[in-house]
Amino acid sequence: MLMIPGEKLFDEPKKMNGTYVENGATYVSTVAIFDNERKNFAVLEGGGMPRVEDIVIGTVSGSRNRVYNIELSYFGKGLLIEGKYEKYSFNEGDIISARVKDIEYGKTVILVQPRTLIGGTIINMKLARIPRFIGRENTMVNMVSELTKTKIIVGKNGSVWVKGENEDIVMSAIEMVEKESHVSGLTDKVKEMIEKKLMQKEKNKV
Amino acid sequence: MASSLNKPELLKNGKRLDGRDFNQLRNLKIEAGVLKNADGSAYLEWGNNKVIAAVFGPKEATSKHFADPNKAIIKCRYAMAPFSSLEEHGRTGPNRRATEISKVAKEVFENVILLNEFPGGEIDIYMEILQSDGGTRAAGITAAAVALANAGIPMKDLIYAVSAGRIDEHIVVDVDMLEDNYSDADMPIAVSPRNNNILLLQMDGGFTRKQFDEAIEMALESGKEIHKIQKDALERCYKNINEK
Repeated sequence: MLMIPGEKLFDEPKKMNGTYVENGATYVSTVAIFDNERKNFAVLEGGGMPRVEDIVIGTVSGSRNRVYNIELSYFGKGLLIEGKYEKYSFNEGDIISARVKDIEYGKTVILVQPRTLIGGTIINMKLARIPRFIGRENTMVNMVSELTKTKIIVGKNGSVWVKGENEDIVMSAIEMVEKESHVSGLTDKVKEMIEKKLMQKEKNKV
Repeated sequence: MASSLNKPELLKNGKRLDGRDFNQLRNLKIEAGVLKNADGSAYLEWGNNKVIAAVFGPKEATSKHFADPNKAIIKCRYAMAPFSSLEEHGRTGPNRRATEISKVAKEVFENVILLNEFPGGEIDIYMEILQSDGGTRAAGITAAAVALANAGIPMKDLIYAVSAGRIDEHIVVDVDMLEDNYSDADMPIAVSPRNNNILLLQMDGGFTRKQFDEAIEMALESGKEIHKIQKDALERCYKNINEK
């Protein structure tokens, strides 16, 4: 069932993504689907802010006094601060993945545990579609990764890092998820599309 | 000059000039998600009004001295296309009237958007009037609300706006251009349908207290229809959802 902003979801206050609480009741704040049988609430648009412990992917955009600025697409800028025992050396333009340690003043994202990602491409996708692309227990991502023989890391900030020879096919898979995220049986559909494209690619080689 | 003194006959046989009853809306059609490059968009046809609304954001506020570290700011632009109208309204660019409507529309949306979720952010709302036939600020706000929902911006409610007017002793809703120019009073209101909070109320002309109450009541009643059409537009945009 489609829920639009202002509709009552629960009579008791509950804190979840895409809702707000007023007068002890929970109301919907963004367009979402609610499955009453499975008690499943999925936001269709928008995204919101990162949470602590999320893995994000970004590019280094500058550094000053042992603080690195990381561009995190939808989340804006993140900060990576060198500690007493952690020493990093990144150049401008490096792609890194990191863990969110804290969010200060509601908007400044503090990162830790950076990892350089060498080569590859960053694909930006809609924030609300990330859970769908990951799939239940990583089914979708693992399937795409296996079929196309690429390495995929999904950042919770909407950036997906892809490395391998079939990057273009992963890109079209992401496009498909963005467009048809509300269709059931999407994993099979994406699988079909990838297999078709791989066959075509092999034909062109011959 | 258009005024209530030299007004033409606005009622014929107990009906309005276009054959509507006093509490009847013009045909309303909304489509959500029409623009590819905007985060959210909506196209609205309300009688002869044609409006396109687009929303960008939330993003980092571009002019830093306007940015608020505690909440997002809204930038709102109402503009009429140069071909939208026959008279002086059609002059393009930010004129006095467009500036005023942009300001009141911004204040309407400040009441419903959950701005605290995006400190230092900015949300851009654009309302372009392609063709005008009276009640364009109501049409613009109604379209922009759908565009905001389409963009996934968290809001307390999906609001609508509608205008009420007075022709002699009769209260009417959804006034068109002719009624707007020559009627005795007209009053656009924007409403949050969840609790019927009134977010915008402007009045041109005069009502008695009783007429005012009647006008509000009629506007709220017709608003139920508008709200349903807004919801249908969003449902059509995501129509495959219910197919399991």
